[in-house]
Amino acid sequence: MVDIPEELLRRSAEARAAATGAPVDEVLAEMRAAVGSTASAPRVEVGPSDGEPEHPTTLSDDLLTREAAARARVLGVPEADAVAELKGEKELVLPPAGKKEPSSQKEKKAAAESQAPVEAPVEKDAPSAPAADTPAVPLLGAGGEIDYAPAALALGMPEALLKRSVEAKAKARNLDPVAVLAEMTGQRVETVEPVAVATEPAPEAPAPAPAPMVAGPAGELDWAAAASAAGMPEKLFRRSVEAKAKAKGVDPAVVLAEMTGQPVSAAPAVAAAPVAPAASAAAVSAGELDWAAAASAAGMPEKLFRRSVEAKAKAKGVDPAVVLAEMTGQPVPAAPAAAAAPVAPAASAAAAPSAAPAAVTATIPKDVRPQRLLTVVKARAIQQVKAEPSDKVSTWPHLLLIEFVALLAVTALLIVMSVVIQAPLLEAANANVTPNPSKAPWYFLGLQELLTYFDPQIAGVTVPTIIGLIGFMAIPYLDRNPSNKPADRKFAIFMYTFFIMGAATLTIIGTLFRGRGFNFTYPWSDGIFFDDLKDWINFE
Amino acid sequence: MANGNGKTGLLNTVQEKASELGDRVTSSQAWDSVFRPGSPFKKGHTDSPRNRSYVVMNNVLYHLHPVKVKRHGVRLSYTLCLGGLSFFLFILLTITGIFLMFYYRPTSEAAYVDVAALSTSVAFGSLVRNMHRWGAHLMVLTVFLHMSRVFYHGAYKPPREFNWVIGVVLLLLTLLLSFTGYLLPWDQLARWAVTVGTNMAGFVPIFGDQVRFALLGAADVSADTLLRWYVLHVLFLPFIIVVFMAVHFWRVRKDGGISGPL
Repeated sequence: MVDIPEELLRRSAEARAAATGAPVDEVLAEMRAAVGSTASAPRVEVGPSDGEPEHPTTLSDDLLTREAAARARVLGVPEADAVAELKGEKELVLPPAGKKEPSSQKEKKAAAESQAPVEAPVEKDAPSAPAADTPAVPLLGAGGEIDYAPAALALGMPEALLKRSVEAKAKARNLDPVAVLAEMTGQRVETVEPVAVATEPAPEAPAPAPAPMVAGPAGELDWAAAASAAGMPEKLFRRSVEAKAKAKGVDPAVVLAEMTGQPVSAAPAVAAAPVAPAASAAAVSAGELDWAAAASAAGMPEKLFRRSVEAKAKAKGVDPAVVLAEMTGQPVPAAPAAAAAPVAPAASAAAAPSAAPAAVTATIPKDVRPQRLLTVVKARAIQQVKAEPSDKVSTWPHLLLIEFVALLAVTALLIVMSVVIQAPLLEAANANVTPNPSKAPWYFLGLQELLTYFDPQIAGVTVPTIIGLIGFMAIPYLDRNPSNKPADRKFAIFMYTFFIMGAATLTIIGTLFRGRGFNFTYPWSDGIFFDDLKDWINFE
Repeated sequence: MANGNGKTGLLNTVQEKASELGDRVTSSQAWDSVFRPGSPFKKGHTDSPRNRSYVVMNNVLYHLHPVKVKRHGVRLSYTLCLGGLSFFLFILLTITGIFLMFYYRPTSEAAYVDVAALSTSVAFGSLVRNMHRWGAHLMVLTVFLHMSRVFYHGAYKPPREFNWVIGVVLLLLTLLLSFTGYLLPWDQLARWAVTVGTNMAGFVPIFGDQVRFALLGAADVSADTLLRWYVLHVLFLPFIIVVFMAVHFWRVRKDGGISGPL
């Protein structure tokens, strides 16, 4: 028997009740009978439930820790406890409630708002099923404000970028940012499966023209149906799906859903809300076309998409709704004028079991099967952008202004220095008089200092050319560590700092601590034997 | 004027006239012809993303930069502008150096006299000479600090390995430029510093003497050395360093702009 989580069943029943006008309890009882549901308690998605574990923990370590961190954050429990709970090692003891409840309600509400046209009922019960009704990625911080960090982590985007993107989308679509964020983080693989299970229409519902089903009645994938829909031998089809899943590293169900035109990316954010995916939702809400959803499904900017559809419609002389339906892979209705109405139920019936089937029964005779959705070829942008998004700002004014100020500062420094400090000019060059000491320019004084310790062959030749020149040039080819994080490069940083400090020490000694005959001296007792500095550092 | 005291009225009039004049200048054809589209100096400039791009794209100097840069790279604390300042100091040194060339003859008789005369009989001569000298020391410092910054950011890692090599060459060229300039005042400091420095080159195994002779143009520091180093200093090395700088900057762009973030 299909084991549908109670809360999903209930939500579905509520939606049906709302659509048909029957009492909720009645519908629920009917559905229970049909499903033969044994599920009576809200089920925790992962980890041991009170009964036998339906879905043993199959999360990878990485996913598990991430999930645990998210839960710990939402539930306000120590992370270690969350991990233990996920692994089934112990029960989770929740801290006194109060913080979590409002936030999750808020999320649900926001998600419901974002998921028009289908009405997603906000359920009142199911208080402690963290995985089933809370998005895996917590969206709200402790104080109720939006917390972008976990979502950014989950999506692999810089937090600032994500925030800006979400806010822009929210503004453009006139939604709550939370809803947008929920939608964006809704692509989690583990949230898809329950949907797939839940979306299967209950048997007694009068043939609501399902799209190729992802899941069979027993919860495992229904290969036969999907394969026949795709027009391929089942065996071949199955192998292809599994290969793709393996290549992408996702669940076969996800690949299957994608191939059968149930857009994975549109999986609702709040895990199990039974909502028509974006593509099929394209058609109508309250009689007008939902451009945003269709455009996002097609991966095009809404404006561009709309213009394209309207142009096509004009060229063909049909209603834009027809063109839109065609492009989103929905059956084209015969009469263009009536386009809007029939398209909607057929389309949303694909994945939305709740409100849609009722609508279908109203408009389509019992034994007439509407066009079946075979496959959706996803529209792709012509340009395949491979570069990762990065956070950039305009060079003008952000960089150029800083540079300009830096130039002015250095110019000012140099002028002040030049007015205050006179460049040295000793007596004219005389080959017969050797000053004592004779010193090289300061940047060679480290080498000159080295000459007092080592043989000239080493200090004068080997060190500067082999270490100084060739060694420095070879650094990028010797350092095979790909990371540029200081924490990963302790050895490299130590080596460089050590070398530079050594050179600096030698230079300072050679400059200030070497007097007549290049013998060691203290500048504060014997004076400075370095003519560039002599005039402006004076210890007397 | 009519109400209010005369001073305020006069001020108002002056301000009005001034803004009128400014308006006439900026709307003139001559002014308009100077600035390319998008320039903030153009009349009616608006701050839009398009114009921000034009500011960079339509200007030969700013064109060194891309239109957009990574946000973290703009932070002053990331680069401390060290690379840019090294380049700027090079430009300052070129300008002050050209000024000095007007008053300097690279002969053993005239060199010292000319440098001494800069302080006494040339307007701003002393200031410009000081700027050239301290600017040179500063440039050695900024180039070195720039190298350190790049190292600590790991910015030499692929794909930027070769640009690091070019950078090391640029450091060497900077040192050589500074060292060749050191001799030109032709005083005792210059002469003996160069003697010490070139003596080190004489330690090169096998053909050390030949290397030293090639550097000095003679067996010892002499008038020939002065001329040789003058030409190296004002012509040859600047030419080489400009070529390397061009490749260096170009590679910064081609290798993906500023490195990081950490």
